Amino acid sequence: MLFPTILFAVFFGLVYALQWAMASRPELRKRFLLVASYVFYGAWDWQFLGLLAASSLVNHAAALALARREPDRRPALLALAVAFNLGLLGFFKYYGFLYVNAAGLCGRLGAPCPLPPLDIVLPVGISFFTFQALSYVLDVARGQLAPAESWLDFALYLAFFPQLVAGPIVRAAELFPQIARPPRPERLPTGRATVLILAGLFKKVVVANWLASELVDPVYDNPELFGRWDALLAVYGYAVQLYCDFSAYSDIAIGVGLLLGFRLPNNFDAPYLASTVQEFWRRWHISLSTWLRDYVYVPLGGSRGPGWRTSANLVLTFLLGGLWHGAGWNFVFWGLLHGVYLAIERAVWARRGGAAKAAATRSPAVRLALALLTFHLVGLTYVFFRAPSFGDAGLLLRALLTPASSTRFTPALAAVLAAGFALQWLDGGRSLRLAAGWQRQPVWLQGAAAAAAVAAIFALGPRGVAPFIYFQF
Amino acid sequence: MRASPPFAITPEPGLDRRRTHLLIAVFYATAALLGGPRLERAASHLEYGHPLRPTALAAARPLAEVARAVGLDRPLAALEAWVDRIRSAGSGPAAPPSAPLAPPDPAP
Repeated sequence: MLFPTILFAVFFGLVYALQWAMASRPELRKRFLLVASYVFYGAWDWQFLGLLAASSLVNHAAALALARREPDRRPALLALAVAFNLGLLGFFKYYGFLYVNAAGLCGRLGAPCPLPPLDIVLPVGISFFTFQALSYVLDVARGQLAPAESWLDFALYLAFFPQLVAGPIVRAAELFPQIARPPRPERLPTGRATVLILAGLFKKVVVANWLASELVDPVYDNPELFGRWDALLAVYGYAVQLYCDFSAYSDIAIGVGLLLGFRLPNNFDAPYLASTVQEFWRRWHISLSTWLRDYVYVPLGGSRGPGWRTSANLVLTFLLGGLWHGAGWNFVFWGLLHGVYLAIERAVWARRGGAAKAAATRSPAVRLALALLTFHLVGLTYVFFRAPSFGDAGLLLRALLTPASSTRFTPALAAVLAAGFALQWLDGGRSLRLAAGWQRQPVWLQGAAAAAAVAAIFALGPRGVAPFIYFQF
Repeated sequence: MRASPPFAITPEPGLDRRRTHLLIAVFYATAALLGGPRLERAASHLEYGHPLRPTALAAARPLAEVARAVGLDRPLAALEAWVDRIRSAGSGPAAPPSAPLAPPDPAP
């Protein structure tokens, strides 16, 4: 069930009305929201509902058992819980990758492949809910979080439908209190919710879909047919498409959550205005980068050791981050590039000193130059993220060096690109000002204007709605 | 990497629940009217034999008729025609067939 569809509009209307009708009966409301979330997930493939329920049961039982044990007796059980989660992820997401590579290697060595070929369907959202489950058991094992009061609370945390299939990756400490307490908000931030949902729909339906169908897909599908200007446009186009596609999902998820009385964390904060790669990762997919920091980078030693050790930790963390995105060497290489960028950046600034960095980033001209450099460095990594294989990525990089005039550029395309880039302005808390202005209007006008805006958005976008890019992760 | 700012807990302007419900109701009613012709088109594109087709058509047709009767369909039709003109003018000569989007998905 995709957000920008009639089916979701009907589903959300029903869930909204019924869950607020149950507001005075919190347990019933929780049960209803869990059922609604399972219906939402089951709309893709009901067979995976068992997987989601099993993950909830096993992780809740593990957390309860961990909390009952003394801290020194927790590691073995924690290792089992982590192995269960990684095993699920490994089987469904990485078995095919492992099999292809093992079969290739065995073929070269002339040996039979020890792994049987299996036709495994990737359950949508498994990377997101598995990371949420992992953070829960790890936080309980560290003594930083009390286990959920009931399986229902934990199951709803794991399956809460607005963020179930593509994030933000919410920590249990953020959502548990909101699930546990009866929803009695005096005022709902409808202005912010409306701005986020409309911005999300515009980003996805108009900008991302337009860029995909008019520029990115044609060039990336046949890079050998295009020259440097179209290839460069496609690299820029994919950067904007990916941002608009993914942040749209987060925006709509946060907006929908607000209308249901829940607050989900921000996931984007104008990432392409970052003046360093480190800053980019503070602004892009924030819930994943903080997850990787807390559960991979810091346990590896973080930045506590010598410089080479910190660099190794960064590279390893981002290799895993790349692998999280997809079971393919192109994603691993994408992660490796980011890890290497961060290690080099850290070394450069360490040599120049913290004061030099502060002075450089205070100057608007230097900040702009650094932001342009960062955007292009990140854009280069997207070539490997988007291209289906290294061969295709190589063809696109070669196209970047091939002289030819542009066949894809149009003023409309430039306007869509610029609009997608400018929409970053709404990230973070900046939408609040717009929301406050919106909310000063009469209620009937807000409702009618939002409906008119949605209708206009669907008239502006291409026919049909492509799935969100991050659904495949 | 540093901690993301936690979700905003600062007081935000907002509506009380009753007025929020009113807003949502106005939104759905207006969207149904404005999108009536599009809903009808989406319903008619459902396969014959699809269990939702008769219900979807029965719900969408009156909305589309009301929208046409009061002229609510005209602005969106003009907008769609404008977008189609831009898209057809912008398709480059070397455009190989791109991967199609997902099958037509009923969108409001």
